[in-house]
Amino acid sequence: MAKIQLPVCMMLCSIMLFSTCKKETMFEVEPNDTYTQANLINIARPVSGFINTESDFDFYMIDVSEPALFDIRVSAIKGVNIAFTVWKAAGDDIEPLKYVDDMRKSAPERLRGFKVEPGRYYVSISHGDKDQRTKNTENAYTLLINEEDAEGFESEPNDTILSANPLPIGVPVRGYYSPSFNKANINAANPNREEDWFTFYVEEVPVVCDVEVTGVTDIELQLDIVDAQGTVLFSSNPQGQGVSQIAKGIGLSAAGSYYIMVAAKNYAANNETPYSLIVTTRSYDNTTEIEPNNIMNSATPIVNDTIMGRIYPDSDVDFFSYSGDSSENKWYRVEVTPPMTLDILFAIYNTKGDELYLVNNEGTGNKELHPNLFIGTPFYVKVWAKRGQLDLDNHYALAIVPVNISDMIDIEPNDTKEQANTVQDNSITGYVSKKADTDYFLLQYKGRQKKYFVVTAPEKIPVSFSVTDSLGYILQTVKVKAGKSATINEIIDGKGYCIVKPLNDAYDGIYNINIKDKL
Amino acid sequence: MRIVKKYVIVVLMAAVSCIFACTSVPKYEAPVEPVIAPVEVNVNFRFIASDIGIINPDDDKRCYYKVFIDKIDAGRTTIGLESQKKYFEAKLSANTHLIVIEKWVLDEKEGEYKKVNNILQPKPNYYYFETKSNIVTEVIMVNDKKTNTAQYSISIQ
Repeated sequence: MAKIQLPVCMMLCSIMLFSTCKKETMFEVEPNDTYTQANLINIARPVSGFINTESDFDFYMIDVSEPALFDIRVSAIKGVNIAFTVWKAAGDDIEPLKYVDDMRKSAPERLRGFKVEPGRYYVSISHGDKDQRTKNTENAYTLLINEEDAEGFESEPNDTILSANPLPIGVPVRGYYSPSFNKANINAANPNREEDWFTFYVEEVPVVCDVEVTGVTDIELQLDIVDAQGTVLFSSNPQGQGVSQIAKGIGLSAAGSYYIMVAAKNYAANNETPYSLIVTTRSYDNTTEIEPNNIMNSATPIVNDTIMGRIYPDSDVDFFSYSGDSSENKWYRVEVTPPMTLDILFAIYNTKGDELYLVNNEGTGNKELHPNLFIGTPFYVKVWAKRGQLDLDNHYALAIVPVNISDMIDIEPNDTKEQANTVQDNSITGYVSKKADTDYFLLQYKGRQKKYFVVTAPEKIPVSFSVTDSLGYILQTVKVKAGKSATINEIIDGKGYCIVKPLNDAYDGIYNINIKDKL
Repeated sequence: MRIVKKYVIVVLMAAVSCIFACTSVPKYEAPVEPVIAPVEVNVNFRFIASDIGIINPDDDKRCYYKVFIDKIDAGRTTIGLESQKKYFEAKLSANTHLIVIEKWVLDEKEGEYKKVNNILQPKPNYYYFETKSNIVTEVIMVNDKKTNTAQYSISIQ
C-alpha cells in the first residue's frame, strides 16, 4: 500500500508545484479607475485588462518588502497608444514617479531597472497623450512586473539634477536606457529626453577625475559632467551607437558636488543591456592637462617644461597657458609630439586671444614644432588634431623650452615685406621655422651703399637668398647649398630687403647672413 | 789698352740699354674696383642713363643699368622709369676707362628685375672715357628705345 501511495503523492505534489509556478493571468476587476480602487497584484503574475473607455484608467497596486529592481511591461493593444505611470504611496496620497509612453500606437511599453524600496507602489494604465483616445474592448493588455536584484543599480527617478543619485567614487553603478521618453523633461534643448543624473562629492582639490560609461547596443549615448553652478565641464561628442564614452582628466578645482548626466540620443531605449558608469579620481601632478580646457579661459597652466594631453573625444581642443619667469619677450622652442595615431596641429595665442602662429607642417604621427617663438608671457598654446581623429589611450606631449640664440632677429611671422624684421647690426641669424618658410629682413642705410652678403645655409636645408630694391622687387638671388656659404654684393639705395627661402621641404634649421662693407 | 777701352764701352752700353729697357716697359696696375657711393666719398665719375622714344606710359618700365668698369662689375645705377635719369657714381683712378652697361627691367609678374634680351640692349653698350682725380667726369647715355640706339656724351665738371 505504501509502495502505491508514494508515487501518487509525488505526482500530486508535482502537479501542485507546477500549478503554483504557472503564470496564471488575472483579469482586472473594475472599477479600478482610482488608486483607492486599485487591484492588488503580485510580482511575476500577469494581469490583463481593457481600455474600456477613452478616458479609462486602470490602477494596480503592489507591495514591496525588500529593495528590488522592477521590470514593468505592458503589452501592446492594436490601434491604441497605451501608456502607464508608476506611483508611490505617500501617506494618504500617491505621488507619480515615472510616466512611460513611447508615443506609438500598437506598441508595448516597458520600464526596466526601476528601483523600488519597501512600500506600496501603484501602476496606472491609460491611453497615451499623443494620439486621439480610443477604447478597445476586444483586445486586452497584459501588465507584468518582474523583480531583479537591485544591487549596484541606479535609483529612478533620477531624471533631474535635483534628484541625482549619489555616486560613490570608484564604485560602478548600472542603469538602463529605459524608457525612451520622459514627458516631464521640458528642457527646451532636449525636450522629453530620458536622463539619468548622478552626483559625486569631492573634498580634496585640485583633483582630476575620469568618468566612463560603457557602450550599449543601438544606443548612442550622451555623457555630460557639470559642476554645482551648472557649468558644463564635459559634454561628449557623437561617437556612434554602441560606443562607450570616456571623460578623461576632468579637472576639479573646487570642493563640492559634481553631477553626471547619462542619456540616449534620439529617444532610443535598450531594456536588455544596462550601461555601467564609474567615476575615479586622482591627484593632479602638473604633468597632464586638466579637462575641460577647450577655451583660453580654462587653459591648463604649464608648470614643467613638458605637459601631456589627449585628443578625446573627437574635435577635442586643448588650451595651455605658459607664464614663464618674466613678461619680457624671449625666444622659445615649442614642440608637440603626437601619438602615432594623430595628425596634430597647434597654434600660439596672445593674451588678447589673437592667433599669432598656426603650426601644421607634418602628417600623422609626426612632431610639430615652432623653433623660434619670440613672445612675452603669458601666452597660450592650442593643440588639436585633424578632424575625426581621436586617441583615448595615448598622450601627446607639449614641450616649451626657452632658447638663447645670439643675433637671432627672425621674429615670425615675417613672411612678407610688410612683416619684415629690421636688421639692426651687420648680422642676421634666422630659422627656417616651417615648410616653405619665407623670411623678410629690412635693410636701411644712409644713402647708397654697396654691401657684401655672406650667406650660410642651415646644415640640411639649401636656401635661396635675394636682395631687393626699396619696393621689394628682387635685384638678385643666389642659391646656397645646405651647410655651405655664398657671397653676393648689391647696392642698397637707402632701403632694401633680404629674402631667405628654403629650397626643400625641410625646416628647423638656422642660417646666418653676415653683411659687410668690404670682402 | 785698346782692348780694355773696348770692354768698358761695351759694358757701359749694355748698362745704358738695360736702364732704357727697364723704363720703357709699362708698369702693371691691378684693376681697382670702383668705390661706390657712401656719401662722404668724393666721386670723380658719374654715369647718367635714360631712354627716349617711349610714347605709351605702359611701356615705361622700372629699370636700372648694370655697370661694368674696366670689365669689373662695378654695381648698378639707381632705379627709375626708363624715361627717367638713373645715376651711377664712383671714385676711379685717373686714367682712361671702359664702361659697359647692361639693361635690366622689372618683370612685375615675377616681382624681380630681369636682364633685357641682348637684341633689345642699347647699342653700343660701351664707351671709353678719361677721368682725372679732382674733376668729375660725367658720361651721359641716351638710348632710343624704338631703335635701341644709344648715344654717349661726356662732360667735365
